[in-house]
Amino acid sequence: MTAAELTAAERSKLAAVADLLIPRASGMPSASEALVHEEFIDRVFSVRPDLADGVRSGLADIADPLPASFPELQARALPRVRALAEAVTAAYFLNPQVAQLVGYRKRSVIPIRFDEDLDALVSSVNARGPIYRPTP
Amino acid sequence: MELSSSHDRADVVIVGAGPAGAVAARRFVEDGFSVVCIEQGDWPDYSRSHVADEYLELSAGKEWNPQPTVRRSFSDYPIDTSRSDVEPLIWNGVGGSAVMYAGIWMRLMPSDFRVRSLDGVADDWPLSYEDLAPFYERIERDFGVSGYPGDPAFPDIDSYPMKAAPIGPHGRMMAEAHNRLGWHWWPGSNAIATEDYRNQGACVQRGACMWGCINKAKASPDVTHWPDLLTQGVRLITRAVAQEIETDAAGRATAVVYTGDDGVTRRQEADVVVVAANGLGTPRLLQLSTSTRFPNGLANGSGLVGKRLMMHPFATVVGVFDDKLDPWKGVWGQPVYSLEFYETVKERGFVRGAKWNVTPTGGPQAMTAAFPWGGSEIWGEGFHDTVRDRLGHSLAWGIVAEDLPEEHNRVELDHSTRDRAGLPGVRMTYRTSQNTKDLLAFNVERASESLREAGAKETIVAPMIRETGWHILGTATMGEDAASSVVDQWGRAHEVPNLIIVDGSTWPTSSGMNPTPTIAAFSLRAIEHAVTERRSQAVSS
Ligand SMILES: Cc1cc2nc3c(=O)[nH]c(=O)nc-3n(C[C@H](O)[C@H](O)[C@H](O)COP(=O)(O)OP(=O)(O)OC[C@H]3O[C@@H](n4cnc5c(N)ncnc54)[C@H](O)[C@@H]3O)c2cc1C
Ligand code: SF4
Repeated sequence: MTAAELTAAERSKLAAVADLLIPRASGMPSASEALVHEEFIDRVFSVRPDLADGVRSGLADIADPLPASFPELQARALPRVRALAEAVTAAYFLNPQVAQLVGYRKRSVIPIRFDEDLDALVSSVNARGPIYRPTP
Repeated sequence: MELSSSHDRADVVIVGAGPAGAVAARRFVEDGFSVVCIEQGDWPDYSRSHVADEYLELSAGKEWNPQPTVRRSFSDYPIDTSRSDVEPLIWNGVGGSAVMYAGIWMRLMPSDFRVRSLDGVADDWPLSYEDLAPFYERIERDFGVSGYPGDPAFPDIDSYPMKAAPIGPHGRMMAEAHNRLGWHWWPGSNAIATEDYRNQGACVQRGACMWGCINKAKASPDVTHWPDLLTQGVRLITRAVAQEIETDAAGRATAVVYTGDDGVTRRQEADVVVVAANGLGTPRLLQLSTSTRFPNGLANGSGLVGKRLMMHPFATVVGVFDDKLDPWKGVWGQPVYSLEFYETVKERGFVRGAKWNVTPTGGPQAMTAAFPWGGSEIWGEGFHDTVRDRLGHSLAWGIVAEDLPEEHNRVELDHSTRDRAGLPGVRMTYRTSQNTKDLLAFNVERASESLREAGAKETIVAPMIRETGWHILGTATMGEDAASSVVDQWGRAHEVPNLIIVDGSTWPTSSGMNPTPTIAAFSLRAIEHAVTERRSQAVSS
């Protein structure tokens, strides 16, 4: 196991906490249903091994019993939870099914088609004349 | 200090391979000068770019992050920002910070060069817009700029090498709103090729310009300049940290001493020394170069080396719309800009103004970030609805504010830290003035108005964040008087005539524009002058 890999215990705690952050709602799967705690957190760490420590310590800060809801988690005011939440969010959107549901996976190639109506669009700007102060 | 034998003496040695240094190298080599460039970083590695895969935003948080303290690359020197309102954003390597820049391309306006005469504050530049205009034109060809000519905010932008990138539905929406308000806007000018152009490929509108443009559509000198310069015989020494500029008894610069990647310290002798290390690196190198003749640092008789730091405080206002805009499907930098509130209007209670550009808000991960959305956390029950509301339905006005030069804002050596060559890091002191705060508050109000006119159902004024120091200016100021400036209008140090400074540290005032076109045009003008002078000396001797 590398430093960026989570233990089984960490993964199961991550699944529970991640569902508080991203629950199943509005036609979207919850974080654990989207396998945030398995494949997708590993994929986050494959690009950003530096985030592993933040996730680990964010989890460690959340003492048992786990909060029952996100407001409860927030009420504990744990400063390192934000880094954990950001990593969980990144992992969630890496899941291709989630990506499909939100309509964004990655940037795609869009060949340029120039705007042909700029003359008309800027005509009122031009009509107002120069707006700079000339060199005195 | 162990000093290994230098390579052959050169006509010119340049420190820094960013836009300022690359432009200088090109102008010298065109006239047959032998040129060596010393650059502390390496070439950007586009094979490590994630612009085409799903890891884009993750990589932007670390390896492709513009903040040296986050990125922590081998070429980043220590910068103490504990006394600064703003974090400096730079990239140290071949291409300089332009490897990370958005490519937003703005000339200054005539009034930017005449702040004292027109507004009674700060200083006039010792050169005018008209002096620089022909050099802007040439630089725009070298950097493959695309844009739409004729903006009435400038006297004479008659052409661009390429047609403007599409303004997108988001740019169009803001343009139409400004037309209704009677406010200025213009299609964006960007250092982005909209067709295959010299070394640049045509833009494919990935909107990932700051995180490693693999199509090489964005004009950074590692694309536009350095491959050709190497062919033309310029010697680029990478991974080499310049640690001192040496001078002789007559006070002329004789050599740059540097530590190479092998840890060996060498001396590169040359007839002319050009410094292009940016608003932080240039004062650092001058301050490191002390001698009996220059006990307070090289060319620092005025005491102004490192002082008058200006960093363009930045504000963002976001609008959320019902319409689907997908603003990342285009160039990131500026599909459109506005200069409606750029010039001073006395009744507003502050001097100078700001430039605005429309900017996308990003992909899903960015919809959940503290910036620009504010501190309240979005996780829990409302998470999905919030993401759905914002993603593809939001855009922002980025507001670049002019800040005025103040001597207490400064860059100094920090002897408590060391870079990899054992040199001290720097400490920045930078506080935003009341004039700038008032200016920003006014512009934020107007930008919210603009977004509401466009139909925003919600506008959010982003919290002021520290990570906005893209533009680092003023720390080796130019002027006519040696007692109150470091260099003259040709970038020549008043006290060291064969030392030329060509980066943004020379700016007497900051303007409210993205600075690279002016840095590059100034470098070209300065070096053209140096070349002409040396030619006439050669003829007369
Ligand atoms: C994220 C980001 C976005 C930006 N967006 C825009 C934009 O859209 N439009 C715009 O106009 N500007 C933008 N900028 C600013 C732009 O990048 C700079 O204005 C420009 O790169 C300055 O050019 P320069 O050559 O003066 O300095 P730099 O490009 O910073 O180059 C200086 C070089 O000197 C080297 N150096 C420094 N000290 C030493 C030393 N002691 N020894 C050896 N080498 C040394 C550095 O490694 C570096 O490569 C942006 C910047 C960033 C970071
Ligand atoms: S939008 Fe154009 S310039 Fe920007 S990353 Fe994509 S191809 Fe490069």
